[in-house]
Amino acid sequence: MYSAYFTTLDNDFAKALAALFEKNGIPVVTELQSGIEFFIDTTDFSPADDDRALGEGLSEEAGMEAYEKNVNEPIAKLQNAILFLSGRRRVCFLSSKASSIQYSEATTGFARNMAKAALHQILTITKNTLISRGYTFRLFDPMTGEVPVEQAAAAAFVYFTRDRYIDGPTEPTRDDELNLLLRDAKGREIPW
Amino acid sequence: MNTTEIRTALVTGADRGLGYCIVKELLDHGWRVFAGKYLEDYSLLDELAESYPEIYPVKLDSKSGDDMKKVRDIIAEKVGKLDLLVSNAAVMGGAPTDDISSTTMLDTDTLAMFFRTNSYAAPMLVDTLLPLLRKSDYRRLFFTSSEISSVRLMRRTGGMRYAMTKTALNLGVRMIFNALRPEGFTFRLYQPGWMKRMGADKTLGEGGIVDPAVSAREAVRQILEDRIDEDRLVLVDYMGRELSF
Repeated sequence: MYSAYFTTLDNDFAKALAALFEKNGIPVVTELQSGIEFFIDTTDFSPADDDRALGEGLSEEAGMEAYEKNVNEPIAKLQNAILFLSGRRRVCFLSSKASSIQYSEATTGFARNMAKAALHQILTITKNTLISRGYTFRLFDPMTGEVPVEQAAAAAFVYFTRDRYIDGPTEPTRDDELNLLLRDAKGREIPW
Repeated sequence: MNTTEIRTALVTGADRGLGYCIVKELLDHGWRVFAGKYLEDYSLLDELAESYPEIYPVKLDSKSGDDMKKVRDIIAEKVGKLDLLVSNAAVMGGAPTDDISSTTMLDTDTLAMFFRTNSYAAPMLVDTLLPLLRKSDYRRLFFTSSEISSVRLMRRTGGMRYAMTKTALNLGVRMIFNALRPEGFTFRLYQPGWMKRMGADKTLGEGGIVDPAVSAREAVRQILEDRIDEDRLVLVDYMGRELSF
């Protein structure tokens, strides 16, 4: 039986999502092992001092800490996990509208939001690299603070476990997996 | 503006290439330019100073918050305000250690250094210089980006190190825009093209297709011209074309 590998279970969203996987018969593991179908990283780290506005003294340390936690550590975990993935080989990460160049209305949170924007491009290039080997990707905005955690986890579970199809002339194809999307907890696509 | 008033700019990454050529273009347009100097083996800015009295080379490592503060203090003492910031410094190249499908682990220290230099330095710089920029009635911010910043158009399977930094930069510029556009700041986000590398003697390398002097001429044209719609943040290339980003 395939399992879901969670890089961390130290936040409420991860716990709620892991419970849904278990409830639906997909074992949750936190150590790399064979038979992992889902790689799930729920990291969303905002460093202290990242609430400063321009002119209030942006923190150098916050910038590097946010990058380390939101990008470097999860990506290194993914690299370690690549060969353990099987089945749909689905790679799932979290981001948010605040890191959308088109949609962001943020004026604070430079460190966290910019790190997540970097992650968008890293995952796109990673998807381009791995798609031909059967890996599929999901990027999800849990709308923290706007949508209850349980509701966001339920939306994420559906998004992470469902395949995406474009109906072809005779049968469904998986072409839509070629495009990495960011979807939010209400099912809306967030532009990059 | 008083017709005799000289506008003041700070250009980062000015040792060579696009930054150096933007400095020269601005000087030719009668600007006073503080030029960020980082590379020890390049002396083109010092040579420029022999012909232009209004150039002030300043040591500026874009990874250093201390350097930014020192430059702010120098400009404050000499001029008291800053009209234009050209955030151009960037690091690129290096050994290809950013292939996630490789058995060689990613060089995450280098990834972080690239992010610090190419992405996070931009809001840090604006944050540091904001008191001087707010004293100007010009308030224009220019950022060197790249066409490979576009997530939607990304088709590459490698080279994540540089590309991801420019995506993050664009988001940072969006946030700066959100914060400062209501104060009358105007923005230029520029794709300079694949430029030929400029050596310490100003010779251009074989790689690349765009002469940095040509790209700088267009960059300064975009800087100096007001736009009809300054309320829209756009990425424009060295041929004046708006790009998806």
